[in-house]
Amino acid sequence: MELADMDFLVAGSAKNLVMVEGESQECNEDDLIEGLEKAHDAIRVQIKAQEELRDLKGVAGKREYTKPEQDEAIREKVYAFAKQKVYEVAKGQHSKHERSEKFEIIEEELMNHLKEGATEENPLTDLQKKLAGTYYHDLQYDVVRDMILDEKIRLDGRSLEQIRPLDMEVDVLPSPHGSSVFTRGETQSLTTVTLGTGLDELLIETAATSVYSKFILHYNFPPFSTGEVKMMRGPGRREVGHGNLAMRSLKKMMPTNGNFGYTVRVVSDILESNGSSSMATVCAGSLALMDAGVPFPKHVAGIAMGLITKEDKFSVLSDILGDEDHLGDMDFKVTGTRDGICSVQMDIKVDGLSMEVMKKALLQAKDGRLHILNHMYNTIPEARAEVKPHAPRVVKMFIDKEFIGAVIGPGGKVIQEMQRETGTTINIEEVNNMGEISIFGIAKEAVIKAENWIKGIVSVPVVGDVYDAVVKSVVPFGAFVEFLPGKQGLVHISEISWKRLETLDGVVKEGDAMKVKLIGTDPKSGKFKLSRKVLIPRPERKEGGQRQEENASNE
Amino acid sequence: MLQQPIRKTFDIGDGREITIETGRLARQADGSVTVSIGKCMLLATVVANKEPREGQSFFPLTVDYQEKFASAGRIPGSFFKRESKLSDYEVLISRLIDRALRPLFPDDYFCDVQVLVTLISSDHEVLPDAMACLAASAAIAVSDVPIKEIISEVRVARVNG
Repeated sequence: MELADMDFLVAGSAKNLVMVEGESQECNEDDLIEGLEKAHDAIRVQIKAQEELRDLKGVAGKREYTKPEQDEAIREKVYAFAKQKVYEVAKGQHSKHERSEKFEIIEEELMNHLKEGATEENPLTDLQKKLAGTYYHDLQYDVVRDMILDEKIRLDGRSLEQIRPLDMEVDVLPSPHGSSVFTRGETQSLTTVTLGTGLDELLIETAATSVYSKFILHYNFPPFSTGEVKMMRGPGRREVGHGNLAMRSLKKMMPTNGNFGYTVRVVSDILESNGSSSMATVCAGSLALMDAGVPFPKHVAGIAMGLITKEDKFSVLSDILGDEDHLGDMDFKVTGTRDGICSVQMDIKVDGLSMEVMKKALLQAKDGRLHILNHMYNTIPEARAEVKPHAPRVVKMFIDKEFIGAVIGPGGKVIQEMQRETGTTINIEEVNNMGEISIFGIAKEAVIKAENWIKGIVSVPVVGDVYDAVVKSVVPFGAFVEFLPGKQGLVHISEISWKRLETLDGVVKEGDAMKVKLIGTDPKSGKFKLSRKVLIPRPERKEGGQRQEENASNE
Repeated sequence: MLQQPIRKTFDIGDGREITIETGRLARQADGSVTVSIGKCMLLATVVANKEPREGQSFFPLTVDYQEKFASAGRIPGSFFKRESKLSDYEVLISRLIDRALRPLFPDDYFCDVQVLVTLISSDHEVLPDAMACLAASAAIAVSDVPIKEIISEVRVARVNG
């Protein structure tokens, strides 16, 4: 499964597909159709098996049940009174709120009309009132569908394949690491990107596995986005589902190579909504990721499509509104790049949808997607070369596995000191028999300092190299110096100076800095032998016997 | 396509400027503004139901103040890495706003009103709590939700005597 570049779940009956959900690595529309056909063949086999089982058991038929009462007279009255009025509102190109208000006014008029028509012997019953309400909604549904099918005009006056007006902006907030506002008609998403460390990874636990995710996407749908008052609760199922769809789409383009060490969290706050806010999240997320300087190679856009069918007529709608979502026969969302599809979510409500129609719908979705992508490329053509100055820097380095212990230190002493002194966050992981280190910090210098520190710890000193050392302790036979972070060696008393010294008192003391050269390692203990004197010009040697005296007088 | 946002900038006396903007974000709310000072930005929205709930006998106002972690370039440390229940600190600020707003509404106004204030970009130098109330009040001021007066809140402090 991990090698798959298409991964779709398909449900269906013998005749029709009912649901499709899945993702792919930029597959094209034909591949998808072919995949769906194969899936449908497999579904039919399973359905046949169920039918055979049923027949074997000898199930004869289904039970009877009572159907809700109907009143055809009321239905006729509703249609006769309101049809033209509803049609005029539907065609009036109103905004969402205006339209629902106007529909409500008609409903009131309708109810008054029905009451007036009632007589004392024949009053309007509660049931009739309820039915009238239901019929009125049926009427709206029929009128709008007919308008779209026959006149190819939609509720907001658009043609079938027209996308709502787009407005996009990046870098809208000063402090987050990346941000964007994506507005499509009456749907708006304010999206932020935050770059974090390995500590920010999200643990995803299923019964069988626990994996960490470095890419997190959260979708929020506050009540004011539709102009409503509602209790603020935690994220509901709808929020989780929408977020997941957007996450899967964007993840297809997220860098996977080892050099991008950040944990990335995308948060989409829907500020206005009238349909396809999950697809707005995909677009806004793509823009914000590029704004944040994540090496995101291509924009991903999403579009929600609808389909209306009646007998042999059908209309495919691009970029549907909230209202069109309810009255369509197919609702499907497609996300992708200029080169292919990243994810699909499809719910089909109609019987006998042919592959031809589905193909047309997919191609129309592609046109819409490309239109949106063009706008997105005009807004930000490619990912910024660097993350923003206030975003954390990350440096990745790989060390020999055997040094992991040295970098961490006993009880984490070394790593904690490094983090405290440099103000960075350091993560170490064992990957493929190597130590993978990620260093995070806000300031570039801090990260470089920590990087050099670790380089010092893990570097294997080379005999003959010269180091800057600091005296750590003085003992009768020489001085112990730290010549690399965490690495100490001995400068023997005879290697301090060309002069013969009896004691180091007054020559070197703890804390002194000196240049030293590594002259060898003890073959048994592996301890480092260093010399200071080889770096000092050798004084000219006087005649034999006088040397001692001269040394003495110099001191 | 978008209607032109409306901005108002004013000096608060120490060289810093506050900008209040409406008409760009969250336009389906009855009132919505962003308030910014330095890098600090707050989004405030208000929505009120048109009709009171049946039998409503008190004024159902809810105010939630929330700070987005992304506003400071951080990812929440919680298990789900997601903002959840308001923290005590956020609850306290919510209450500060609530207490300031509640008296402004007419005594006989019983419709549900929800005010949401969100910190969307934060600035080390700016304490957002007092700004939150300004934002909430401005959101109501630009809406058609009935209030008797417009308010704001400021922080007064004494430094070194």
